[in-house]
Amino acid sequence: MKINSKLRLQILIQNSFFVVLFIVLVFLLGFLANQYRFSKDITQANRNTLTTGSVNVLKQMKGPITLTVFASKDDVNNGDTFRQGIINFMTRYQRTKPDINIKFISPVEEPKLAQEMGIKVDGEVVVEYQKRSEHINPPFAEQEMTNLFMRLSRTNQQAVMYLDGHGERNLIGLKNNDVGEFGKQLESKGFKFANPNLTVESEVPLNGSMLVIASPQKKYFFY
Amino acid sequence: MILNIARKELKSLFASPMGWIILALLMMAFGSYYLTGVNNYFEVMSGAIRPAERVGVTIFVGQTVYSIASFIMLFAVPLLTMRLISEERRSQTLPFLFSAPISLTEIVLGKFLGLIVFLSILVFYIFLMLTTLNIWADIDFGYLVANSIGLWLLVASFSALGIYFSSLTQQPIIAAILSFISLFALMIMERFFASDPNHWFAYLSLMKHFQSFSRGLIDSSDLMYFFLFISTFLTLTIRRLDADRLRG
Repeated sequence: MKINSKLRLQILIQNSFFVVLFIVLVFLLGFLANQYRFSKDITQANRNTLTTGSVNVLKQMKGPITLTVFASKDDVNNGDTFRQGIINFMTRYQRTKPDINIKFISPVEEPKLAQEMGIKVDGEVVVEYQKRSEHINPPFAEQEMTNLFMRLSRTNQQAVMYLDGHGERNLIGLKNNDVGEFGKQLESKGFKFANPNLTVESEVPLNGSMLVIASPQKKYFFY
Repeated sequence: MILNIARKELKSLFASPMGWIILALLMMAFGSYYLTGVNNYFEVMSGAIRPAERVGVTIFVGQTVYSIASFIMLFAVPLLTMRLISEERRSQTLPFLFSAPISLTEIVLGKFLGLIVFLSILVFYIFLMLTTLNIWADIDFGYLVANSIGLWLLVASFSALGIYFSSLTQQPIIAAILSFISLFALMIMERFFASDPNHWFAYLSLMKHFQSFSRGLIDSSDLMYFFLFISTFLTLTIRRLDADRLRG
């Protein structure tokens, strides 16, 4: 085959077309593989998998969750390492619930926004779900994050009412016979408390979810 | 035919002491890191470290060995791939290879396969070396298997890119330098986008895809990335040799 300049041009055009189309195809396949991904944790301790408790909480949550991370950008404060750490931490959640979005905002670059959101610490995370939001400060582990999700998913805002003044075990008390530690656990999972004053109100309010009477020591008098 | 070429490549590696020396030197490097890893484990974990931050011996030693292995392979693989095609071109044996009754695809795949078998020996040795921990401890084999798969895919990608650069030039040393530089750039690319880890450009980085394997996770997207990376550079090599054959 004799190669003249015309044929050479043809070959050049043909080759460059091939290379461009081929690379486009490769990028397309890579993009598709990134969109439809599934993964398997093959470690014996399942260290990349969420506990069943967290999975159940996530399953109850319909609709997207947005995490806004206010972390500085530069490496002086280990900002980059922290951002990567958050991503690695959240991938375990994202594998169960893909519509968890993470957004990074540097409080140094946008001080106004950080002030509006009430950011106090570098690395503070604002979690939004169905127009409600909560803040969480690092360091946090799976337990704290899952508790936060549970608080956000609890739409029922009716309070847990408790009585006091008759020697009951108090839900927010600190004394030995109080159940304050249990109350704290309930609070971290999103329950609200109310303390109806029955000397003022004539009957128990109807807007509570339940009334806790924890082993009173004196008699109740109802009129 | 692919197997024949692969066998020939392997034989030429082991015909001289070169292949053995490379294996021995690399294993010595990995072995010394393994021993320092075990040493450090007892030093670090017996100290005042918070219980929440303690990790198992598999992860501690495995991480040390596999991260250094991926880094050492970055130097070793270009040196092994550099002569695969450029040496043939320099010693004028390429026309013979072209005129043999085998296709170009078979030639490239054969050479690639030969090298992969050689490198697989190393990956397998590292795995064996780490399983010796099982004598004293109960180790996490799944973690080691995931890391081995990751390392294997990583060196296969290195080799594919190395073969491509080897087909571009006549001088093996230029091929080695070019493939080293581009591999190094691909490895550290994600560092440049550290403040924006979800940037699509960081997705191109080899290290980012190795990371999920190094955590013990088999991810379809990362498998696909390595597969596409290898097949891209092998196809480009075949095209390049085909252009050579046409021009004569």
